[in-house]
Amino acid sequence: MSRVVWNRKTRRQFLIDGSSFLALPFLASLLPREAGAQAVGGEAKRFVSIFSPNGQRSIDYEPRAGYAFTSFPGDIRETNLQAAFGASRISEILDNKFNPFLNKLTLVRGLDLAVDAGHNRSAMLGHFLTSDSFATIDQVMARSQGVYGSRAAVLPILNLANQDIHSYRKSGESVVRASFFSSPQSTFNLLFNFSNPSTRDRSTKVLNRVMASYSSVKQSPQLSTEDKRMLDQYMSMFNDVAVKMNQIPQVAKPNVNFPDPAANQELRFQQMVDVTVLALQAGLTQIANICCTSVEGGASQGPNDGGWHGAHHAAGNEVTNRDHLVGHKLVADQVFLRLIQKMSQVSTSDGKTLLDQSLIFWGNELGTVSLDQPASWVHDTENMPVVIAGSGQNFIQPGRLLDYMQYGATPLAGVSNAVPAAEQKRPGRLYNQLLVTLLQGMGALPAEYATGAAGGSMSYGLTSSGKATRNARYITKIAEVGQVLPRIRG
Amino acid sequence: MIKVFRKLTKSVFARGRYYLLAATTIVVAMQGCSDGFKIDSDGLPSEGLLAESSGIPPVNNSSSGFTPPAPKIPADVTCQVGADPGATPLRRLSKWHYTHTMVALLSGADLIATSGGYNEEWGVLSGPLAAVVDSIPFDAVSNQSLFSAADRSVHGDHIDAYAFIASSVADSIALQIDQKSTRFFDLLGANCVSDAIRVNQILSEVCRDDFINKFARLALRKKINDEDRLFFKNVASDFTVLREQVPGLIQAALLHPRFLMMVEIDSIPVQGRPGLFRLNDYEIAQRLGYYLLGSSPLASRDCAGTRAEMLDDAERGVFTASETSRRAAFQKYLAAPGPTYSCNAANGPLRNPISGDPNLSHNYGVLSHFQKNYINFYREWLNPNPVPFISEDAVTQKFLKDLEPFSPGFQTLHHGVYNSIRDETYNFVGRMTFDANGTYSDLLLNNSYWMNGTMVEYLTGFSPAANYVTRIQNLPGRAGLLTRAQFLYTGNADSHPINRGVFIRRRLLCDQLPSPSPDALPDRAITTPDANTNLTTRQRYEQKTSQRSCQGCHNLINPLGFALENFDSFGRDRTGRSEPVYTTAKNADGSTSAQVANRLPINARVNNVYIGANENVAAIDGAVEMSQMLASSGKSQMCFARQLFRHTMGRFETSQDGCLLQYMVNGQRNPAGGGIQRMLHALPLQEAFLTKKVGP
Repeated sequence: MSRVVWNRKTRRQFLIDGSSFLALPFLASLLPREAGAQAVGGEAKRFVSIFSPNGQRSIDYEPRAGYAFTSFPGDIRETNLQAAFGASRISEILDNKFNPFLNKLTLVRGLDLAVDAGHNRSAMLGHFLTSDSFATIDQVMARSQGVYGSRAAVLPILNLANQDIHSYRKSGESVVRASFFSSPQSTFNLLFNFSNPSTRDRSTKVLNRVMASYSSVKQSPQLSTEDKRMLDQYMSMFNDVAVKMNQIPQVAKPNVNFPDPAANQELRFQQMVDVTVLALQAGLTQIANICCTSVEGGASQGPNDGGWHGAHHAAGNEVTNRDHLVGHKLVADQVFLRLIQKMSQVSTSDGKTLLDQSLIFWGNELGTVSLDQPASWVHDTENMPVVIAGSGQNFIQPGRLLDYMQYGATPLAGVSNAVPAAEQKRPGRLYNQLLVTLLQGMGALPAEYATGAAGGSMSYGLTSSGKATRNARYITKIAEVGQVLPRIRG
Repeated sequence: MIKVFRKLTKSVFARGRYYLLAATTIVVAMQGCSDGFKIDSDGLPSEGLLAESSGIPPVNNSSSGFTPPAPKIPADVTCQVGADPGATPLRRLSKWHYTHTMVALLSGADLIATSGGYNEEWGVLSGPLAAVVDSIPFDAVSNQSLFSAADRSVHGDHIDAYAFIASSVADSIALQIDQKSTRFFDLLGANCVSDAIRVNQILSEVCRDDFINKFARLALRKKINDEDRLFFKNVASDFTVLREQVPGLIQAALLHPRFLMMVEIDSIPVQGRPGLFRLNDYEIAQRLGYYLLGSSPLASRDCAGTRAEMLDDAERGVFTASETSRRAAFQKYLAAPGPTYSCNAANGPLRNPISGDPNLSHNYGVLSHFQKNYINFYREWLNPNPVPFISEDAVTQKFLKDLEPFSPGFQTLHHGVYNSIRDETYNFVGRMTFDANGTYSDLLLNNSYWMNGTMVEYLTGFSPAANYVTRIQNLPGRAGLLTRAQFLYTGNADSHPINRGVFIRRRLLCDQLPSPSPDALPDRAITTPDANTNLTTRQRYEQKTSQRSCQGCHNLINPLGFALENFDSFGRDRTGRSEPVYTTAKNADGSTSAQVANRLPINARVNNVYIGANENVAAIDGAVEMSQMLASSGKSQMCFARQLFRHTMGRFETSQDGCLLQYMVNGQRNPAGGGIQRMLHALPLQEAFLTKKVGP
């Protein structure tokens, strides 16, 4: 993938002209908009993650055993989705509405976290534990030269949610939850107004003047060295905004309205998807996260922690299990499917579709639940639900089910006549490899996410003396933890 | 010079340390060119996983930022009479402060109607701008740093949000101008209503200056001087038409450092005390606003229509004139009801005494602005991990069914129950603080409960005649905070004594307990212990944490949690009862059911409890004795003062803050002297509040 050299002129201009900064406005506003580097090498890749809480019930989410597969060395089983499910459906949740897109989907089984993440939403994207110092992979992508290059975005990451978000960013040594938007209409206005020429002109001029005010405050002798360093950072970051404003794509605001969805969860999900697609299509962002929870109770309102949490931990309670199914179907249909449909309808400059350029990942923070889940395994994180739509510009070869479970290993959840032997959960591969796959699929470089332990890269949740090395289940997989999932590229 | 610089920088890229070395190079290169503009070489901390190795900073912001160094928290603080206070660093507005300041400013400038509505109860902006304002990043809080006000870090996400919000507000104003809103032009002032302005859309100098003088003072929270006027005139001069000038002015104000941060640089040096400054009137007003109201001083108004506005008092020099005038002003603000944006009879100050009307049906939401701001302190200090639902696993369901007395409708109450649980705690702390002149000891020992019918039924099993809030006293076996349902509730059958012990150790004793690293522990080390029909919850946890590698922390944690074992996981007293332990079995239909396999005696007695240096306790039996121990503990009382200090001052205490901390400890101790409330009222009169020490 070719790299665009970032035009550092404006930044250096800012620094060198500092001596006359007070007298003259910052010069970025005088640069022609074309000064920002354009996208090179065709369309940019996009990444969308969809989170729904509390895991999936295997019986609802996964295909039942009995479909044909091809075995490969390294505990890999591969199934063509069209061939296996084209005449029926994958599962009750991934039902026949997905059949037109089977060749665009990648379903993955057998990916395990090496730690007990509990209900940390951020575990889905790599911030497994609250004590972890790793940001989620979307944050890594947003800062990656390989992802954005010199393309400016109104928002490096578009976070849409009702009450919570699964994206966590670095804040010094801490990792904190990212901010998010809850109003589709306000988000839409913000995104497109910011790229409006008159708003940009006004904002650029204002920013130039504002930076002078920081410089003025900084002159005060009543500030410490550390205070002045803080002000320097403000100036630097406002400068970044000013530079970015000149590089943001100039797009017309679509004539779309998003009426207040209020308590209509289905409408809210639809609007979140629609705003996301519009933003991705216009190049105002390349990364989006949609967190699908509901503030209301009841399955009809969508996923809610109460009903779904209970259902996840109480297999056998058919009332709550039904809630669980209905809620996840809402996400499947109104978010995941809708995204796929909308993005497949957008053509891109290279003759493909927005879906082809993208990686859409729907996941959870907990593994699938089997029928006879023991009570003590209520927060297990084996066989994490993973379904991907799109190919990320042919980075992955979609249209397949990839099963990484070690079928020669002892089943994890105990043996029971209630669960067919073929469906009993077994250890698989480390989920970290999925994160590597998504990062590399978007163009991030190992140097940008490598953590330096356990083989040199992507040791989220692992150390040389960590759980995985003690746990013989993954001992043969540790060395591959920094690699793209085998066979996923075809 | 430029060529040399480029060459140097290019080689620096290859080493991947662009920021550090390039900045240093710039400083060297610029000597002789400028004295007034430098970037410190260590000004760009690591953001974790960044593209620094490529040497090229990404274009989409968030690559730089400011993170203050970790605070050095002194173990002991003693008052050194005459010492300067700890240094006051420059800090930004927290998310809470920013949101309330935006509301105060937009309503103070009467721009609310033009830009959106607001929710009165918490002064929360609603309408088109609400979601945008809400994009301000969450402040970084942790188990050690509980308070959003103490987070001084700032990153690209903050700046992006500030830019978006300012732009959105400006766009909203531009829209009003486009629509030729009569109200908008009226708001600009008498000098702005000429036809020339409305029709020709050009801002006259008189109108411009009028608007600047009015708006800038409100936004920047300072006395406007010529430099400020020049700044805004320059902003206006960049535009030629009204629909850009006025929005541009507002946008600039919302991005100004004096709006985004609590800037205190106009203070008066104290003679003979290098680095120590006495705040001026506006700076005191600013501190008062955020201390009392959690918002800009503009937020102080009274319902009589006269503006008891802190900025007006600052303009009159009330705060620095004398202690008498200062004290009178503080009393006036304390009496101001809230919310301040509309006043009605229901929003009066909370003055119902404990011995008065028992039908105290309002919750914490209907309080004065000051009281509401202090509930926020309690919320951040005491908020345990929320578990807002009841687990539906077979054991928990069986546990609930067996609770006696039991209401058949109990399970359907759980959403309402959790809200009631939370409200009950805040009712308690609010009333203890503001009605009862309570002390810290009262918070731990007073067993009054203000509960609605749902809560009464929840805790006692008995349905009251009505659902309004009433005061219940003398519930047996209960005392203060540690026996509140919110603290005890876990949502399942396990009482989680470790969580309870950690809460007390960190939040009530201020001990720094690092979180365990699962990588360094055996598999499933930090999950709940496995079920065992021969062991109580306490015994299971004792067994699980008995390994030497666990004891370093669990010696400190376990006793505090085990002493509360006389309360079950739903906050109900089980003193004198046994603890049921369960087995589960599969039913023919595939469902799981639980049965009581055993009943075991509960033991809430612990021995040799380490509190702190010279504060060991030989034995504690139960929650009430635990509360008594904490109430009399000097360490715990000082911890309360420390927490309040961090929230109020927006920084961690240093060894030089001993006098203020000791004042806070002593000041809240005396109920006859007004307890915590009196101490809170007098805090702004302390020297440490009215002065500022500048660090190196």
